[in-house]
Amino acid sequence: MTSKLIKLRLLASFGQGGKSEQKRKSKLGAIPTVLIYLLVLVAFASIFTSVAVLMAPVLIAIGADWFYFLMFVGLDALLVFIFGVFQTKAEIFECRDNELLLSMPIKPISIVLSRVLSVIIWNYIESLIVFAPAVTVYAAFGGSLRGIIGGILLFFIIPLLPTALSCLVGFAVSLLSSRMKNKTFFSVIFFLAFFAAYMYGYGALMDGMDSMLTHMGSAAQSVGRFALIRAIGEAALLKPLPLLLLALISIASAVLTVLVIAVKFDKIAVMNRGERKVEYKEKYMSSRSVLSALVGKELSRFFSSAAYMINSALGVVFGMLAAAYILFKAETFLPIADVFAYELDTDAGGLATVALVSALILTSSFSYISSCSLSLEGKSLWIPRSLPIGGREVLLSKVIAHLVITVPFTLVSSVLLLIASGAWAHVWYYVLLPLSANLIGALVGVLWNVLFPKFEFTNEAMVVKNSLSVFLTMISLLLLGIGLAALGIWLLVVAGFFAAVLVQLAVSLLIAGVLLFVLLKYAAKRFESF
Amino acid sequence: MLKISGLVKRYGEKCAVDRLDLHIKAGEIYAFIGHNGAGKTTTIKACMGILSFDEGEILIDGLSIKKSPLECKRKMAYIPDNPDLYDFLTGISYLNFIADVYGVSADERNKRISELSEKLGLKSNLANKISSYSHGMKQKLAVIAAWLHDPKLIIMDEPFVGLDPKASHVLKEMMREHCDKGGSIFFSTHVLDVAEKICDSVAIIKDGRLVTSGKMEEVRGDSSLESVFLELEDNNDE
Repeated sequence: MTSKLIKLRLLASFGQGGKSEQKRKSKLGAIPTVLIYLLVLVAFASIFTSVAVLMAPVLIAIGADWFYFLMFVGLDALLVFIFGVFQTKAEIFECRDNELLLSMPIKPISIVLSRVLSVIIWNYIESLIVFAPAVTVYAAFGGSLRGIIGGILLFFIIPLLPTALSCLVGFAVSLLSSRMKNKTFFSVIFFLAFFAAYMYGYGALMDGMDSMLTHMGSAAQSVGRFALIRAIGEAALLKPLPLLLLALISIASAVLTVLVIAVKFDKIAVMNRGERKVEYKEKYMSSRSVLSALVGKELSRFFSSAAYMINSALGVVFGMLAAAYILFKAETFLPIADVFAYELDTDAGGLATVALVSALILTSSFSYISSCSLSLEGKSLWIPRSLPIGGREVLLSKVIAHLVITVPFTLVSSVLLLIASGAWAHVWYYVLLPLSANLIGALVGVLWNVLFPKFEFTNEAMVVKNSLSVFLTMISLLLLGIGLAALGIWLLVVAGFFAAVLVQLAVSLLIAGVLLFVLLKYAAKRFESF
Repeated sequence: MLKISGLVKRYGEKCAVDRLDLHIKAGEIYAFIGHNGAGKTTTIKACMGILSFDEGEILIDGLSIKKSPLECKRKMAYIPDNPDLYDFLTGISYLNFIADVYGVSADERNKRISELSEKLGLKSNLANKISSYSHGMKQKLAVIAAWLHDPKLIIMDEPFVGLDPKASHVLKEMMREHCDKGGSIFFSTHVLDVAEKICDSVAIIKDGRLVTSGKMEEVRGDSSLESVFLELEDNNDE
């Protein structure tokens, strides 16, 4: 039973809701998703490879192999824990099929075990991108056979403990949020606090890493004084006691976690969702146009789901925070433009303007609100399909809702950057190009979602985080951002500031126009045929 | 009001609906009965323009659902077998949304929502999110939404499932009133007693094919609808 439930969870993660039943059932449908995941994994693995290449030769030479593995154990544990908390919350505690499964003759422990094991499988995939480069680079730089075998063993042992911790934290968050009156608000606040702590920790780690990489020998010496911490690294060198203890603690923590959650699972699965009952008091309702009703509905969906807000709209928030940071650190950033302008033999003010706007476009490209908006119709797709509204209105409402959410953040960011740069003469450029990029983002998201919808899901996070349309939108917008920036800088050097910005604007407006045409002409028809 | 001619719908090799002909006139309550998987929901979804079909024609008040889907949908309302509504909206927001889509004037929607929700006993819950509603409450909300723009034709798939006895009674009254005013209702049901009591006409479908149709008294004859249905099912099996 447990293996069947695991298979179900993994299929749900990779499965794509297509046009026909046959297509949906086709195993080929999962290939694009798998390819995209592989791409992301390779990108992350290359980061860890570069860290390993910096560390391995020095640490092997000074005989601090244990420290090398300790660093990767730390990186892996951090990665698994951070991604795990939100995954366990969505995959274990807030799944829509929890009640259904509990009503069947399946023991809660089987349900919990299947959920935890499917999370562990994901975590092993994440761990692979840490340990595969670590062990390969270690072997390439002449590391010992013991270290290679130990590194492989740690890959199997290490993810268990952070998975257990993330399950418990996810459990606590679900339990707390179920008792809150405004669950969505609580979840967003928790995420932001968690994320702020992560960013702070990441910053501190990177600072520490910098100095550690410079003084690896002394760092190993300092850390080596703490026997317990040193023992974790020594487990990788097949020291029997540390290895045995580490394996025991990891396995015991995973088993205990499953048992603890299993005991409380029935209560968690059917717990009060925290919605307060309100007595309806009649009030006069005014009418709206069809389009504004549809946009209002999209906005209600967005603001009612923490998973949707957190996962799809962070780009514009980051963009604004980055713009504020640049404003406060203008004296640090703007001289960098002078250096590059000198190197490129171009105008420093123009380069700063193009670079700042490009940076804003790149950060806001991490907003994919529209890219899962169609999938989120899910089982209620019959509503727009049975109402007298055309595909154009439905899709346009999703584009407009995306813009209503992102444009205010983009405008504030533009104003902050304008204040930082003082380039008020170019206000039109600071406003128009990021806005046109917003429009492209909204259109690209809807178009990918019309091509690759995923209407069947057991929790919204599955759609917002794991669907193909979201990945394709992310990659498309990143490429667009990089392309626009490269075009702008190249034209700035060869043809001057005005030519650069006018061509950038023209190109982005042209792209937006073509995408809008495709949406109205073809995508709307495809929606009507679902 | 609703004319189905030679409707064919295939799912791959399987023919879900095979050359179906039905005619629902204005002022008529028309029951559509058949075993599970007989093709009732497929037919209903095709009538609503939700599902494309391979052959035949469906006319709503003289307009083709294929050629003029939006005009047809403006004249109709639909209640599905499982009312998966927008869980993130409150009941009142959902009704307001539906009223906006059908262009119901502000005065009219306020009056109708108040009356219908009072009638079905849902008024006090309208401020709550749909996600907190029971199946029956969602069904009541779907009924109110369907009646909100005073459609000419209401198509319902198993509308009585999940409704409490009082709400079922109210719905039957609403159906009768609607048809007395010239509207039409086409609905599928497994509750043959209800179909027998409130319907003017009935169609029985088996394996996608129409077995019989006509005025209730003609189809039923001297026996009950249940006897006729079971007899037809058995005959066809032989």
